[in-house]
Amino acid sequence: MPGGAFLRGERVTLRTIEEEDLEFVRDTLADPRVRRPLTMVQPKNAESWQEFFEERLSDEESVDLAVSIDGEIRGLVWLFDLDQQAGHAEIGYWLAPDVHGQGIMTEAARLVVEYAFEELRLHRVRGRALASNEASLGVLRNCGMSEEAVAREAATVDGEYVDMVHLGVLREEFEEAGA
Amino acid sequence: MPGGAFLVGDDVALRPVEEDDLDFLRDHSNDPAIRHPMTFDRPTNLEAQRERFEDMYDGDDVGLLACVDDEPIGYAMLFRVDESAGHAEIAYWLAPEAQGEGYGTEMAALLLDYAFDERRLHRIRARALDTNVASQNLLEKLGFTHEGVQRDEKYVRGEYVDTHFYGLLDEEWAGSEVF
Repeated sequence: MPGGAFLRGERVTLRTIEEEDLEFVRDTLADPRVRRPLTMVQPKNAESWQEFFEERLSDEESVDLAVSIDGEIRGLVWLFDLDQQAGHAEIGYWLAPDVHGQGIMTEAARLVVEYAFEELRLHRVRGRALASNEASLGVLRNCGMSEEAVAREAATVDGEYVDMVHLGVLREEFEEAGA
Repeated sequence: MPGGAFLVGDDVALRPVEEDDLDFLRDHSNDPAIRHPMTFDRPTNLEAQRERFEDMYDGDDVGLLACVDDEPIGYAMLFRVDESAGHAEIAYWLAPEAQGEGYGTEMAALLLDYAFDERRLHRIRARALDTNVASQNLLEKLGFTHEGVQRDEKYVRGEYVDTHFYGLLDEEWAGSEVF
């Protein structure tokens, strides 16, 4: 398996993202089924991924992980806007369509939220999902998150305005939920 | 091509890190079995390891790969070198499959010989988490004096953990041949 295993779950291993993963990342994120829920409207080529890899993914502070199943990368999960002083961060993620609907991202996201609380000593983790994206809302709720706000018509998908749902979980809620 | 041995013991040899070793360092420094006791809390991919590697031997710090029969088994560091005061810190880790064989004692002893006899340092410091009894026992076996405890100094797996501070002076060092 390329990459070093960083967090291990039952089905999922979260490992470092390596240069040889970039082709999968580029091709999968070009797929409208993956990029539209992420509201990624800018095309990115191999060169722009290479720059992102060097500047962000290989940074020693950032938390960006490959979701690996049976040794194969199937998606990414990451923390961003990490504020150690305030004690919070936001989670982001995507999976290749062939492994949607199997609870894989729920397992991966829980590992990352647990890591945020237990290793980074954060107090709060938040996430956002389109109101139309039931699967992603399910992942965030399965991390113990509750809905905190709805930003009305905050995103455009397929020519339609869509609400963006903001969710969050506090450390004690995550522990109580046994998530 | 493995590098030439720099410090040689009965079973363990310490040699400079070469580019081919970066996979080994990446795999183990991301492994929870190693990064929890070492308190490495961020993922580091191969590119990040390569950036560290490029100026690894430019300063006073010394990082050496521990090998048995030419196979890497761990890593030992001399760092925070203060030449004018005559002190530095040591740290080390062993791959889980190489633990319990006495290799840790040998690699630390080789590094202490080097620190006192070649670098002419007067004092070596080491730290161990309260939860890492193996490391505390190793330091005591080598003749280190327990000099203090910093309460709740680290945060590991969701809890504050005390850090034990140890020190060894050159006249107290018995020499690696004793171990």
